[in-house]
Amino acid sequence: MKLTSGDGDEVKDKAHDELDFEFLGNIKGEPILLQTNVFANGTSGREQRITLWFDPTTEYHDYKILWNQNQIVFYVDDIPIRVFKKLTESGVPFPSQPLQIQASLWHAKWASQNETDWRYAPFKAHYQGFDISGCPCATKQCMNECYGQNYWWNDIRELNSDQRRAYEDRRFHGGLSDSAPHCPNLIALSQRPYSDSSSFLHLMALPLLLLLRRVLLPSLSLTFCPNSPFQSCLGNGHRRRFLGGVASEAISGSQGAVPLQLSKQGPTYQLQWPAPPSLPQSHISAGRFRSFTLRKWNFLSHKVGGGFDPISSNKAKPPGVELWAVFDAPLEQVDDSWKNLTHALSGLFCASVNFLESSTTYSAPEWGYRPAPGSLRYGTLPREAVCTENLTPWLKLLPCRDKAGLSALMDRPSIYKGFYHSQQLRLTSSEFESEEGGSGIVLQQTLTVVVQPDSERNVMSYSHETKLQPSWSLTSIFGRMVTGRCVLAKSSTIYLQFDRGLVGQLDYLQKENELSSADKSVYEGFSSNPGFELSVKPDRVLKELNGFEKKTPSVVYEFYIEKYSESRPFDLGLTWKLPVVWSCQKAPLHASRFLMGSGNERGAIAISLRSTEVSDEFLHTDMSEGRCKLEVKVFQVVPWYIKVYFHTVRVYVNEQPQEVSDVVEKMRVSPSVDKVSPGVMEMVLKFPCGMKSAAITLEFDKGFLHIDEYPPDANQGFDIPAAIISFPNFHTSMQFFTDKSVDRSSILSKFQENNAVLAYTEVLLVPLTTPDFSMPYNVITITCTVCALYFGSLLNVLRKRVGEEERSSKSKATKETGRLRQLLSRVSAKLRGRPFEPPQPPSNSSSFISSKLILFILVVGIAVFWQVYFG
Amino acid sequence: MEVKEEQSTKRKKQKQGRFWTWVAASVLFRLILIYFPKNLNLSSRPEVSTPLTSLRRLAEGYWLKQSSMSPYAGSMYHGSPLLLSLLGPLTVKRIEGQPSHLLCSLVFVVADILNAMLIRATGQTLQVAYRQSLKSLDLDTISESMEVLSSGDIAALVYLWNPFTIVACVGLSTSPIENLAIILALYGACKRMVPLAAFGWVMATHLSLYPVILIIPIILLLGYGPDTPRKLLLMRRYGKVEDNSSSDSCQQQEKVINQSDLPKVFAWRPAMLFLLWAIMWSVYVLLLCGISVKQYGGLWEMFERMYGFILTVQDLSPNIGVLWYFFAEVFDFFRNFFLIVFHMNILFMIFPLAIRLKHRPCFLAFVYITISSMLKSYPSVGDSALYFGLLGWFVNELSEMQFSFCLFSVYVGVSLLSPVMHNLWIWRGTGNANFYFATAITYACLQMVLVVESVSAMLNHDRKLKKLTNAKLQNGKS
Repeated sequence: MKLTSGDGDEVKDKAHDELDFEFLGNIKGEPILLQTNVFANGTSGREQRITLWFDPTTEYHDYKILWNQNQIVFYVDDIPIRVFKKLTESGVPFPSQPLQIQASLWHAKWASQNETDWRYAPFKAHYQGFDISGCPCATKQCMNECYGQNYWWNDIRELNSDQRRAYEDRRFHGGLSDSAPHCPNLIALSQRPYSDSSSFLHLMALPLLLLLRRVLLPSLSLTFCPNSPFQSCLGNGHRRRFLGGVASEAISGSQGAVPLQLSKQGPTYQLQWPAPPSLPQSHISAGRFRSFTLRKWNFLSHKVGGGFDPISSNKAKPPGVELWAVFDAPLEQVDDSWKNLTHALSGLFCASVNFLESSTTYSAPEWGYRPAPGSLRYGTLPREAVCTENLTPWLKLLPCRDKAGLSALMDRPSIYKGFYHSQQLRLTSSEFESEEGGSGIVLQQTLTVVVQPDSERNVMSYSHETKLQPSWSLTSIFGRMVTGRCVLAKSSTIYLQFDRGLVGQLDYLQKENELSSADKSVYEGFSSNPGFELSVKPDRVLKELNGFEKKTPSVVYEFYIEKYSESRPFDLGLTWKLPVVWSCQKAPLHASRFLMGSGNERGAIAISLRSTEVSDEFLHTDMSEGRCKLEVKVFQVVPWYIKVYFHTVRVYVNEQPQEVSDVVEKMRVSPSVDKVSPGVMEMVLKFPCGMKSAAITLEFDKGFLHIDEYPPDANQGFDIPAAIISFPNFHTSMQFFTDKSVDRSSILSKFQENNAVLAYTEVLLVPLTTPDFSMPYNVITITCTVCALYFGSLLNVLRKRVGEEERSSKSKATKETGRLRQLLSRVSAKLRGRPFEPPQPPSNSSSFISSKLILFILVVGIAVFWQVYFG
Repeated sequence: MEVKEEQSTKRKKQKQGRFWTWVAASVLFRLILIYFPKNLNLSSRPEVSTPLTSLRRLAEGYWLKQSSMSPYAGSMYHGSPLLLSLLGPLTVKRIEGQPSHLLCSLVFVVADILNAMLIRATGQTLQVAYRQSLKSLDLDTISESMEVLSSGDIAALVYLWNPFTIVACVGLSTSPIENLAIILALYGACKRMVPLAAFGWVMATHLSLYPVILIIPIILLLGYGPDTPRKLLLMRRYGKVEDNSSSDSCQQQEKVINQSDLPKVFAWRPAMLFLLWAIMWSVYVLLLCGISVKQYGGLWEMFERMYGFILTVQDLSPNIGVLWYFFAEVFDFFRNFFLIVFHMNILFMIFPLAIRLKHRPCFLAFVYITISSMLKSYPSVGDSALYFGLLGWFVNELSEMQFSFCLFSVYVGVSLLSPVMHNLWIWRGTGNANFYFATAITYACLQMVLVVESVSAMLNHDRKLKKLTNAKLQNGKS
């Protein structure tokens, strides 16, 4: 069959049951999409699309359908592209009526990429080479005959191995995708008045989010960015290589000694929709600015260094939950607002955020974390695990959920398979310029994922000593493609950022190869670059403006998703053509934290800072005092049972102890109060520039808790939240040479935000001693017995005079006074005294009983007192 | 006679010389221990440094104060602000080439020596009083036959050489200073220096709260004078002198009271003076404290952090007492009840003991100190060091105490086992909290037996004296 070359053709079967090959209309030059469809019993919605791997307008190709009682297989040139199994037992209808063949042209406005141009009408179609093998049958009697052994196709139950291989190859390489039941639903949704946004408001338990009464069209954008902190994940001594393209990065042994080769990439989804406030201020006072992050690291041990990337440095965080909020409320109401917030969030995200309610878990940093004295609260739950239960509510906040737009990529298995993922919710009440004008509330949702491209298939071994970086595409990472934007989205863009180091390497490669000496550089053409190839042409290329650096600027490719649709899904891919090794920009110091000391009595926290020695050119930033200084801010929260002695702060520079006042510029401490509040330390340190390493140590005593305060797994230990190291003189901003259209995309403005470089240290696990949980009763009874024994025996000794005087008169006769007294002085001797003094026991026992009686009366009295006043 | 006196003076001098060598040796021993590297880690032992006495916490409080925060911010420091301004600068100051804690250690050594000297002086007073009372009872014979030991020297040496004292002194706990205040109060009361006694008592109460119950022995001491045998015996004796024939006790008593030269009647004047001075001193101390904590939380915060912390047992870190584990295990809704019970246990015994031992105020003070160190919230070996020192005063009276060897050996055993159990539990992780708690319980039982037995022995001693006087009286009559 050969299609006419033109703007649209299709072949179609039409019946109550229907099997379709549909060639969708397209723009000339684009690959033609082939859509297959199965109607059974009149139910449709089983379209599948495949990008043909050839141009069907130039040659004749075979398009086959095999239909028997086991399956329906669609073939293109004998390569199965779709298998539809008969699963009527599971309730899936299967075509079973006699069919006829129809071929037609069809005006399908929704499926085509562009409008039909009727100027070219009439459209003619010509078909040739039809070949049908079938069982002609019009009556029920011949049915059994048709299903019999006479026909060869009835034996085909499954694909054979060759076919299967070809099928899988097609499906995963050729980018076959299930398209959602698209048109009718989506169109309806977009026509729904969005101003009341009731479609998702009912999902939110959070009263605060009800403020989003009026939501503008969300801008949904996906960014791939090199998450530079991640590169330090695999520890020290490894030479890092940033694999090109979409933030993919490889870490391997410097001399190939470590066979480990990982490649990661971190797409960040960022969703933002602004909302002008239409509710009274009282609601807004609940909170102004908060960030909530759930994170998971898959590494057993990880180290997070700082990074220069504007997005990653905000998002690469240690595991657990981090929540911070700045409240507009009066200072005395801030804590209450915080408690409300934690409860709302824990309900909203199915996470134990409500544990942050207790005052022992959150702190109020003044300037160490973010400058917001008084009204900022910060809390972390280092042990909180992140799972799909947390992701689903997060996705529900998106207007299209994960059904359309960029969020359709969020395939749970591939996200949770990744090395790192973090979901973030950020609510800002800010002045922002929108079409409506005025201030509003912006909810930003960010999902950061570090995944590894499937390297097995993609890595081809090169003759060089270095391997080619694994190539990737959206389908290979997520198993899905972007099939157009969410109709509610204002804009939908994918950014692909090439790190400075990578761009530099590529430039170097280009010069070395001397393919094109002058005009073609990495930021102008993408297809001509010798190092890599992008499967989709970017709509825009942005180059970083860096005035003062001689370094190469980083490059961002922009892809607009609006152009793509189900018929033409967006599948960005990057193929490496040459092995590239590069390292990304790192923070000036690599921070890590560890515990010192052994035993469960005391210990010390040490924060070690090692110079990364890559950013020497930045170090001239603070020359105010004539000497080069590197400013570092440390923010550390310790739970109350880690009783830190702040006077034991020691600072070592290049392993030499330093006078604390020489290095510490500013320090604010709020010591922990037992069972009330955690300890907070905020510090500004100034190190000399040539410093190789520095360490800060703090001694602490371990506290002892009440048995009720231990978690069920008490012997696992307790977590000290990560310390935050920031470098106020190092900023993450990247200025891009753009026009004012930047404003429309939040992610570009994020690139340009002037944030300080941040680094989180590890979460520390501190073992604490445990009491014996099993015997509170024993302890209570034994202690009380000792007390009673003391009380009773002392009282007995004091009370002995009466009896003794009586005895002394009698003992004159018996002449045994001395011995008796001696004996009587002991409580235990009472029974031994019996043979000597037969009349003695009654008085003795009575005294003993009376002492007990007094004790009893006392206890009863206390109990009554207790009941009256406290009961 | 002269030869005999010479001999006795010679022996006395010899004894004196030996005493001073021992004192010097003990000081030397302490100094050697101080110079050990890292202070032998004694300062972090739970036996030595409780949250109240730890010098490290004091240094933290001083640091907080220096960085213009309240020293009571956080739950580190729970001591007195006066101690902070006294010892705080010493924790920071350093002498080149010397251990960093040297100055503080020297302060504690000086405090220890002062303690020993005051104990010695008080002991000598007590001994004189004891001799006099024996003489007045015409029981010189037994005193000679028993060879009265110089209890002051013994008590001082026991105090100085007690391992508990040494450990508390070298281990940088503030208990030598707290002990100094208590001993000062007793010394002042024995020597009838009312302002000194009042100052000591106020300071001791201010520093560690529990010595507040010592007001009873101090007033008794000021009222009746140092420990004397039972009043009744004296009355009988005087009665005998006055009127041989009559044996009517009522008449005797009247006559005794009428006697103006009899010192054994309660003297109200010094007692009232003491109260007056005590009020003055406490106002003074509160004023000083108020000045030093004025810019932070004020006096109320100080009370809350010092005395509230003591009374509510907030810190559950292990110590040699039993309350930490009890309150770590007890159900939360019983907590307040048991707090009341344990503190009542101290208070309930005050009056019975005071009634029974009012003629022996020093011994009464010793018993109170022992009881409070047994039941206090954060006991340390420093408290034990004090009552062991004071026990030396009564070496003559308590010579017939039972179980003394048993007590001694169990003390040795517990003080050896307790660090071992602590090590097993905390450091090695092979033991369990119950092991350590068992030693704490044993220790509490031990102190209980000590209290009961010493009280019993003292009462027996009084009975013995009474019996002897009675016998003498009968002999005299017949």
